[in-house]
Order: sequence, then C-alpha cells, then structure tokens
Amino acid sequence: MSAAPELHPETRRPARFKAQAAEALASPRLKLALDRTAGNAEAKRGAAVAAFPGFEAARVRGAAIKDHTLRHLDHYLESFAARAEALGTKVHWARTADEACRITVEICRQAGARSATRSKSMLGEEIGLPHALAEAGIERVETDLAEHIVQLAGDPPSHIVWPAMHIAREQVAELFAEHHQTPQDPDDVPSMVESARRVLRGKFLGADVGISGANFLIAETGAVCTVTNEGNAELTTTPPRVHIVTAGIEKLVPTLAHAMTLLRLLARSATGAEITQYTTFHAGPKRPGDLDGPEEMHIVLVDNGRSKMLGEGLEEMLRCIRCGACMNHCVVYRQIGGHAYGGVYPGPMGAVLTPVLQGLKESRALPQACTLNGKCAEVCPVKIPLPTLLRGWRIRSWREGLEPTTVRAGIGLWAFVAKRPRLYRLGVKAALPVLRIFGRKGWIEKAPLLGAWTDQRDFPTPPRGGSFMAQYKAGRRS
Amino acid sequence: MSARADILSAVRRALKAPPAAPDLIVAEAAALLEDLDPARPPAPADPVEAFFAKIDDPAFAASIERIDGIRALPAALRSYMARHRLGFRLCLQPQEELRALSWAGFDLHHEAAPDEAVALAAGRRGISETGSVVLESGPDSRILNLFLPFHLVLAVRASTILGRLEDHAEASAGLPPRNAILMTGASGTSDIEGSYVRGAHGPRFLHVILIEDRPQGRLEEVRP
Ligand code: SF4
Repeated sequence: MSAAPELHPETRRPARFKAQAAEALASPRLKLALDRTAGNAEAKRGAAVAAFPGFEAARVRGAAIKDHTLRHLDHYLESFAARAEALGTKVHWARTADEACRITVEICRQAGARSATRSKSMLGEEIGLPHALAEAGIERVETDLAEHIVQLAGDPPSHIVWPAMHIAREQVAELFAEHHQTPQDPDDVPSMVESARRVLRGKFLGADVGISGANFLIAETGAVCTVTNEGNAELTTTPPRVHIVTAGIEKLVPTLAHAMTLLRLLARSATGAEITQYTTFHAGPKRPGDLDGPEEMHIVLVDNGRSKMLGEGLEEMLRCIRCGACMNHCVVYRQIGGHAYGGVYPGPMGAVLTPVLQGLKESRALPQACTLNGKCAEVCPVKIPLPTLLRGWRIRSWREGLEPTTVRAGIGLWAFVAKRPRLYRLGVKAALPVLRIFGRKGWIEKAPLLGAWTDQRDFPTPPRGGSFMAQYKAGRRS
Repeated sequence: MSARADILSAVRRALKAPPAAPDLIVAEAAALLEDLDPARPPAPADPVEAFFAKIDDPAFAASIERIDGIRALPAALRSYMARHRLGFRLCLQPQEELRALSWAGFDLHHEAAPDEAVALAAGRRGISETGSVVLESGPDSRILNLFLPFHLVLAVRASTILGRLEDHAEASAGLPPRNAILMTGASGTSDIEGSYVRGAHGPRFLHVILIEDRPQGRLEEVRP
C-alpha cells in the first residue's frame, strides 16, 4: 500500500543504505513524487528569499541567536524550567529516548488514557514514541495530514516537513478509500483533504491526551511555541484533559523577540511563506476562568545525545530549526527520498544526526552519501556548515577503522601516488585517453573499475586539452 | 543523580567555559536584538494600510473589509453570512465588546459545535508585516471557537495594528496568556504532493473586519 512496497519499513537501517538507495532509485513512482513536492518547495523557497532582501542578514542573526543560547544552555534550561513551573506546567527531564518514552507513557497511564492525538513532532519519531504508545496499548491518532497518511500506510515519515513526500496522490486515494470507508477521487485533492478533516474531527474531540512537539521554547516566559498550517496543533492540545510536549533541549530561545527572527527564517525556508498560518504559544494549563484548555500540561525535555554534540564539535548542528531546506536542495535526497537513509532524519541534516543517534558504525554510509556540492549549507537558514560536519564524520570513520579494507587500500594507493606529484601526473596522463575511449556524448556510461559510480549515473568524459595541471601549465586555467 | 541534574551537568561539562554571570547573558541577548532592521522587512509607513493591503492580496488566504466603527459589526456579519448563505446562526466569542452590540435577527450561541458554520471573535491586535491577527485565550475566549468553524470572522481595531513581529513581542510583555495565537490566513495544507488546499483542520475561510477606531478616522492617515 505504501509508495514503494519494495522497501521494507521494518528492516530499513542506516547500515543498509546502499541497498536501500538502489531500491529507491529503481522506483520511478518515488522519483515522480519527490520531484513534485521537493521541486515545489525549492521554487517557493527561492521566491520567498528573493522577496526578502534581509534574508542573509537574518540568517547571520538567527545563527548568532542559536549560538548564544547554546553557549548558555544550562542557564536557559534552568530559567525556562522555572518559568514553566510557575505557569503550572510540570517539567520532566529525560536523558535518553527510552527515558523520554517511559515518562510520556507514564503520564498517559496516570491520565487513564486510551487514546492520544499527536501533532507532528520529529522528536517524537526520534525517541520512538509511536512504538512506545502502541506497546502501552494507547491508540495513537496522528493529526497532521501527512502523518495521518503515513500512519495509514504503515510507513515512517520520509521528510521532516512533508512526511508523506514519497506517497503520490493516487496512493492517498487508495489509503483513504480503505480506511475512511468512502470512495475517493485521486484527482480531487481538496475532497481527500475534506475526508481526512471529517474523520479526524471526531478523534480530536474524543482524545484523552494530546501530544505535541515544540518549535521553540521561550526561556523568558516558559511558553512553548508550535507552528502549523493546518491548525491541528491547537485541536490536539486544547480538548484533551492532558497536554504533553516532548522537546529537545536545543529548542530554547531567550525571549519571544528572539523567536521572531527564527520564525521568519523557518517559514520561508520550509514552505516559502512569510510565517506559518498558526504560530501558537502555549503557556501552562487551563487557568481559573478559562473557557477551555487542558487541565494538565507536561513538558518532557529530552537530551538524547544533544549534550554530547555540544561538547564534541557538533554544536553547530544544534542550531537546526528543522526546516527541511537542506534535503529539498540535496541532489542525493532528490534521487532516493528519505527512507533510503534508514534513520529518522533524512538528507544532509540526517546524515549528520543519525551517527549521533544510532552510532557511527551503523551509519557510516550516510556521511559518504554526499557529493559535498555545498548546496545544503548555502540554503540552511541558520548557516550550519553541513558539508564540513559530514567531512568530520568521514574522517572519524576512517580513524576509527570503520571503512572497509577495499576503500582503505584504494585510498592508500591514491595517497601514495598523490604525495608523489610526478607519479600522480604520469598516472593521470595515462588514464585520460583511456577514459575518453569509454565516453560517448560527454558522459561515460560504463568503464572498468567505475561500476559502482556508473550503475546509477554517468561519469563525465575528461575534457580535451589534458589534465588540470597540464592546462594550468599551458596558462589556460587560473 | 536526577535526570535534571545529570543533563545540566552534562551540558556544563560540554560547554567547558565557566558559567557566565546572568546579567552578562541578559546583555548579550539584548545585543542580539539591536540594529535588527537589516535582518527584517522594512517598517511600514502606515501599519494599518499595510495590514489591509497584505490581507487584501489575492495570494493571501483570507479576505478583509473595513467598517467605520464597532457598531457596524452586526451589519457586516449579516452581509457576510448572506453572501455565503450561512443562515443567521452565529457562534459569538463571548467577549464583552462583542456581546454589547445589537445582534437582533441573529441566533447567537457561544460554544462552537464540531460542525459549526461560522464564528466571530475579536483579535487582540494585528501585525502588518505578516497580516497576522493575534488571538488570546481567557475567561471570554474559547480557543475551540477559533478552530472548529468552517468560516471564521475576526474583528480587529485599527488602533491595535502594529508593524512588525518584534512590535508584537514588545506589546505582549508580562505574563503571557495561556494561549496566544498569531493567526495568518485560513487553515491550509500542501501535504498531498505539495498542492495547496484550504481548510485542512481549522477554518477553510478567514475574513477580517478592520474596525476604524482612531480619533479622526482615516483622515488622520493623510499626511501633509
Ligand atoms: S540543517 Fe539547516 S536546512 Fe537542514 S533542516 Fe536544519 S535548519 Fe533546515
């Protein structure tokens, strides 16, 4: 029923990246779905950035705001927790994913919850909350439209902003026809949206617990900010008796005013809008006299590797505001989609985060799955040097001896030759004419020893005029 | 050790530097908000006009009209509801300023049903940069009244319109309401193949009524 039934969700792992990528490349339907949505997002972001001359200055400011907060993270965590508690919110701390799930499930149990509505949260996916709720026998109702679709398909999200990016509208129609038990027309997207609205409306109002993530935690006030375009966060957090927020400790910002710069960057980078339709600040449970709202509000502050990132050279990654621009602009993601990466977070940011979350041994293929073209860093609204961080993982993987012996031997040979300029030039000189023999129309489809490269793409034919060094010497390059 | 103590000490260990004095941190944070203009859209010459124009843009997922005073609100609602064939059953946010008006001919109630057709609420303020209306929870404001209806009409006074997002942050200093919502257009989604559809979970239609309440009305805006 999913977009790519040939991919098996339960066995996908970062370690199987190569096989998963090959399967993804073999699915023309996936490529179509990716091009439709990511292409759209890329165009809309481009237009929004062009319409905002201050974008570059805002990026610099946004990065500085996040860096400042991270530099004083202990201070901001303590002041946020104190403010939130003063508002009547119960603050919980979780060192690991398991601990976060245990706390969340326990709050649900205490509330006697049989069902929980959920407003999309990547952190929830990261800690494995869907699984933990299922094990505890609590019905989980995903309310974000895309999350609803992937839940019906039995898939994990394949993108951090468009979780159902891999699913084409024809398959949405099939899923809805089966689960909503009404006929669906794949060419009528509005009526499919209407169908989900009808089905989920009842669930919203009947849930015992509502679970959301957080886009920002405001240290000054103790408020939690969620952004959505659908309005599902408010419908998730208002009717149930209990509202639980799960949030990573890096979500802090000093004040509401600081959040504004980041909100400008987030909406433009994610969907090309100036701001999301609903930007909501949740500050504690229902107050005396309030006409609605939850009786209890809980926040689970999750570390799960973040304090380690802070101390081990990955602090820049903690600036991430989860906009998805890096994957929309990634040539690798655009070919293979999110599932091939095998982790919770796909694309360039995922290739940096997954080794933290699942270990470098398991995920060493991900930092390699990058052309280092720099596009991701160019678009990242908080200026995260993604290629540099990916290179860092590659170096570490090499040092820790995780690279297979064929790669080590190959690179060892290259290094031996590269350190001896004359030998290197001789080798290149010998290789160029050979490569040209295999080239047709400027691209090489097959050549000895290049099988892994040319299976999925062509290798460019070397230009006439000799190697770079030969041209340089002849004064044709500078 | 408790999880809280563990996380805080792990963070401190990772930061390596000794903790800074709180007033230094406050000063550093304040400096990040200084000289912000190059990093944000320019201030509008006239926030009210800019707010109107923003929402009036066909690309914006809402409509807007102006009325000359709050007493004209029921008539504006009547014609909106007639135009959209909604009948005259209206869910009115129980805000004092709205209840005080004359609603003869309307069938009023104050708690939205799951299939509510239309609701009216008064916004706390407007932000011209984004065309957002700020709504707050409280003893006279039910959050669900803003999300369940198919049509949502928001009344905003011209005197409350601010220029940029930071102006709103400044205006809302102090104890935050339980819920503060910056609402910008109707509910929408692009989750199916990126094609934009209105009315995902929240209102499909948003209509803003701008109430002119400044001393000399619109004439004041005509600058020499
Ligand atoms: S790394 Fe940058 S571009 Fe990628 S999701 Fe995070 S903030 Fe967005």
